[in-house]
Amino acid sequence: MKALKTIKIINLLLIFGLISCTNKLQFSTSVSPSGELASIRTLAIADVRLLQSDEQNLSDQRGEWKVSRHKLQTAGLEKLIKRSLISNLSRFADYNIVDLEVFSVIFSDKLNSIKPVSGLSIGGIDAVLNLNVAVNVTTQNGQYDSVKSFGRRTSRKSGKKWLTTEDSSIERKITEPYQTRTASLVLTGELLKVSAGKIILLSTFSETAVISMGRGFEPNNFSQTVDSKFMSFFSGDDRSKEEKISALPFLDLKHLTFSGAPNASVNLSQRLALQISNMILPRFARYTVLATRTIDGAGNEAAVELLTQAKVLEAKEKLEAILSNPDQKTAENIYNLGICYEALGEPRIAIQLYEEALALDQSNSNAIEALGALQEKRI
Amino acid sequence: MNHRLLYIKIIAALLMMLYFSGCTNKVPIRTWVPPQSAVDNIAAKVDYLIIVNPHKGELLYDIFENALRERFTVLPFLEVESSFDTAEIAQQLKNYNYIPRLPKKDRIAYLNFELKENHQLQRLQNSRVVNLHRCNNLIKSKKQQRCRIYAKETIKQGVQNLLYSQQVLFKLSDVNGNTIIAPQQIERNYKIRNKLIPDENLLRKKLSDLIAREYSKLVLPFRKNLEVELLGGDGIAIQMIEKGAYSQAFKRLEKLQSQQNGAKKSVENQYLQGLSLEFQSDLAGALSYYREALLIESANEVVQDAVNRIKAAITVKTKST
Repeated sequence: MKALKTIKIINLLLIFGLISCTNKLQFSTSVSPSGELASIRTLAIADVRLLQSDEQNLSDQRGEWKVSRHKLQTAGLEKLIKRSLISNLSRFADYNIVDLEVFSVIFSDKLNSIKPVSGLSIGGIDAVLNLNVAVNVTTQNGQYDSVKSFGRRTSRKSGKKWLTTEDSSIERKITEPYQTRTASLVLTGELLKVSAGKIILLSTFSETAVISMGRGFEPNNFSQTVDSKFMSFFSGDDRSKEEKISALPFLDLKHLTFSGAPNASVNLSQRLALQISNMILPRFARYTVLATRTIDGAGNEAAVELLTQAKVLEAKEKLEAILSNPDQKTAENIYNLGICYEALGEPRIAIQLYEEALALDQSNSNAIEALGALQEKRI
Repeated sequence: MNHRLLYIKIIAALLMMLYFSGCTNKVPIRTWVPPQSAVDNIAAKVDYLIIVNPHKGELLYDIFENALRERFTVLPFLEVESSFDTAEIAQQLKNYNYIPRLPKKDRIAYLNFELKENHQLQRLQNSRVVNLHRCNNLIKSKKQQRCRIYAKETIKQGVQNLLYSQQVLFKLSDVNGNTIIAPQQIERNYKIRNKLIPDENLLRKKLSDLIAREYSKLVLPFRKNLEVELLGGDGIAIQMIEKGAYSQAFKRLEKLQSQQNGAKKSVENQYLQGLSLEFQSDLAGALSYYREALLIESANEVVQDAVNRIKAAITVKTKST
């Protein structure tokens, strides 16, 4: 019986081993945001409105609840969110990002050919993004009673029966505290397309997130001072327009990141701003995902070996050299070259190669799989 | 022992049934279907929708308004007015080579909603008894391997018993205040009993999205997931369709059908060609292939279903374009 079990386990391990032995190549590939953004060249961030910013305290004293609610101090938070958003979108999106309000104030006279970032000119605004944010911080703390009763029972054997000789118990009351702090975020946004003198609502989106604040968070420490450098552009600045442009506020911004232990005290405003940017970025900027393709082991051995070691560029050169020989023009080698091109960020060439491989071998399931993934954007 | 054998036989038979039923090739497809009541379909009556928020600035109403706007902008039937003041944005854009042009809007509808929410939160004291066990796992004999209760624990803690519901009354009227379709009411609930409860705003958002989605399905066509049969036909083409390589499947089938040299075309392959076009959203092309398949075999139910499905989708899509 034991031997049978061992054989079964060995069989399972063998099957698993065979499956996992299939060589795969993983690579990151960029995915474009939705098609409606394809025609946009300049996106303006118009309004960021804070609809709600409340804090709720739930105090649970051994099952007795006390509830209190008050407003959070959120001075400057809207501006911080906007700056963070402009900073992050400028970095990752394929089009110009401008702050509508600031540009209007500074360059109200001639906006026809401003060149703010990397020499790209802004002829007009193609789309406007507006955001609404609601923040609700919930702090729940309290303690609960736990009554533990410990018992002892002893018995002694008398003939064939067991007789209880002692049966006693004691109770102990233990009080245990607990605490949670979370910030819930409801974000809604509208993308308006500006074209031929018309403003059309292109899409509306919404996101929710719950951010765990951990210990050490101080709810009242919420205010931000962001205006000192920012506001100098509005008045009392004698610099030329070019100088102003080269020092536009969003160019100075850094991508906000946080480090340290999760329970460390952090600035909630910055965390919220970063969270909002991260929620919005995939909608408006290219993002990368991990793609997996099966390496065709029936192809050229050296190239397969290079692909297995993820040496994509070398594998590509090797395969191109091999494929110059008409005898080596097999579906497997062409497919493997397709993977190389896909991994190097050339999906169009990859599609052509997959189709070429399929023309040689119509039942090449790897090529079918890859083409299907690319066409359906399953990646 | 006999019973055990019988059970094994039953399980084996069930497994075989599952295996063979799974052998019928089916693929999921998303297709347009008209709303439940054709009379209430506003796609043919309205071009521009204005969502009227009776309590602008109140978060509950703002969340619901956004849920409606989000839902209606996803569907390709109507133009929806923005919640932001377009005149204000136009003023801001004046400096960006923007010359406002008033668009002509023909059939405008006003969507009014009245919303009621009920948020019952009972904060209770909960006591629960937990038995703590001690087992002697070193004793090998199964009969002797008993766990003896040696302690009990009573926990007293606060528990939140939440019942959240939203009730919405929708009224859709034209510019003159005439009702376009009869008022509709939708109510949905959410219940949870836990030490911690979801945030109030997240609950509002969850139910608002749900109700907005249901309402849009009552008044506009929507996309539905269907499972369509692949019939038989060329194995490689089926594999291509299953994996999503539709254009390659179509090319292969086209080549196969042209090689028939005057012989009768295969109904299965003709149907698969239609299906690969349907997956690529070429509804008219798909319909022509399905019709050709019906000419070969008029009684084929799978092809008949496909023709009916595509006709409904074409009606819906024509309106959207």
